[in-house]
Amino acid sequence: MKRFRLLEIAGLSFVLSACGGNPEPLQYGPNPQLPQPHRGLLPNMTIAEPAEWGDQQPTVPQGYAIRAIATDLKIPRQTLLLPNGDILVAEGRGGGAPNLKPKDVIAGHIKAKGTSPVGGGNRLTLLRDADGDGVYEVRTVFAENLNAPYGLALVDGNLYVANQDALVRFEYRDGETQASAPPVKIADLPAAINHHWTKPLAASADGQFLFVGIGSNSNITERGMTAEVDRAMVWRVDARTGAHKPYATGLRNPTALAIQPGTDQLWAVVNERDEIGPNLVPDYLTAVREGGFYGWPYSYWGRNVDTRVRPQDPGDARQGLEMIGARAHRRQQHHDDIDRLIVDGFEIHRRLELHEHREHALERGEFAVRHGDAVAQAGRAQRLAVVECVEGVGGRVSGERCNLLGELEENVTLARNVCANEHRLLGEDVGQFHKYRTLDVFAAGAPSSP
Amino acid sequence: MAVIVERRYSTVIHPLHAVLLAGTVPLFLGAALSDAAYARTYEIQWNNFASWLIVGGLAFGGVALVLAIIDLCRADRRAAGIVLYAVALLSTWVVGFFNALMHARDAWASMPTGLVLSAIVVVLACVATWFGFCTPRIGGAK
Repeated sequence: MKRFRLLEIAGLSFVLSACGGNPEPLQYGPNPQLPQPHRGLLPNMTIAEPAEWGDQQPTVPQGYAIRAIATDLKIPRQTLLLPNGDILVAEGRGGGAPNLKPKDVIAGHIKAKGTSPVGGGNRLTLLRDADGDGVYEVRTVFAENLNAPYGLALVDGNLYVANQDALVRFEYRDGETQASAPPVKIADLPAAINHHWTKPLAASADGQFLFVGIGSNSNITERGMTAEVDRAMVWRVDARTGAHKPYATGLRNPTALAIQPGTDQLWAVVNERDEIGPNLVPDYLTAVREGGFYGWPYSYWGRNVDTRVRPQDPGDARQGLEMIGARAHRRQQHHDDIDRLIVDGFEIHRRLELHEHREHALERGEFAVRHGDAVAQAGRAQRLAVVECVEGVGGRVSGERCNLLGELEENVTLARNVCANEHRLLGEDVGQFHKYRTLDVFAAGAPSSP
Repeated sequence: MAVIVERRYSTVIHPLHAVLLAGTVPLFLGAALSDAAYARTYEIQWNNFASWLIVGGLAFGGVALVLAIIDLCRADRRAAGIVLYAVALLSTWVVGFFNALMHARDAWASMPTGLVLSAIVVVLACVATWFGFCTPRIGGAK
């Protein structure tokens, strides 16, 4: 297999470490070691060869079982666990930003080798395990003809879906296997170019507001500043009127949003910039403060100015303060008890499919059963870890050894998006972007589950 | 007194070769000017233009280079000065290639090195073109 060292990767702040036999500084926690930016003549890019799971299964620790509950989906992205235990899977593939430079043409060909040839389903699939035996015997198309649906949220009988170009609402009644009516559009979402097309979604507990993540239209402004209007931010949308305002900005590519239960606190997993070295810039999970600016494109992880951006921002110092504030907030939150997590930090790996490849990103989330919820945070003992790793170095198939729960291990790929209730951790497998399957993980031995 | 001159050489380069060789100059020049415009305005489209113009220059120059090497390998055409021409063209192409890689960087990461390389490539392309047109060739005009 050919190896292309074309693009470089970053790591998840919490969660990043090296794997694949290439020791790199650990980049966990709120103060990761950040190397100096570096980029050779050719960026690093290693494309893993697509492969099928076949008879293989991800391995899980003792006391847990794992099984595929749905296969042959059409690019499943986010999943939503409905109150009755049904699972909704959003299937779609958006984007389609035009090539601008010769590099885009060449990189596009290379990256295509690592992506699934499957077209996006543009639909929501519902999976049901009526008798609770772990086999999801019912599979229906809940809604179709959507435009690359991604974010899902359910509040008070309203099922919100963030398509790549619009936020829509379905009415949902418990037990439905098919939407009873076509969706109602709440608001248009920024969709020009859609370099980062995924629109994650979270709803405030009272259902009044919806938070929508909008990724940037470039890696680092190489499509021009004007392409970045209304990008790299989180919108807060009034669910009733559709009116929106930027809630927080400078978030390069928020790929998952969640409201911390019992609070109004919004959290986001953010995908950071590429091509300044294999360990820059760490992706991060952060509490999102209203009005906060998180750096993109001008700087990363605080005051580290990204010299690739022109014109540079005159208010750099101010931004730094903002971000430090935000990080402090996150750090504080990080050590608090948080009942639930946004486990979709795993989104990180999607880059390969869409855009770029993280060479050896290792992610760890944790599955805390303590309050009957899941927590994906690093650095806590006695929590079950969700581990994911893209093994790109050497182009090995990363689906070979999957360790969804357990110790950090190299060469692990699985569980891109995870949601959980007290009994079950649901991992949506990308399996290196070619095996689009949804896997169900039973937390049979989970401590203190109700 | 009458002198009989046997014309062994023609100073006329083959038209195809000439077009390809001469074409490198405006292409690389356009790239350098685009780089300068990008550096002045930060308007990213200039950077895109430069990237494609460099690719164009490499394509033209690459074919011209092949033709030059063919000439070089054919003893009956290996006229004086052709080695110098081939070296100049090769240098143009190699530096141009590095420049293309430099321009594959995102946004301002290609600068200012990209602009400097572009300027060097323009000079090299001019030199190569000069040598190319001055180098006599065996065989005479078609």
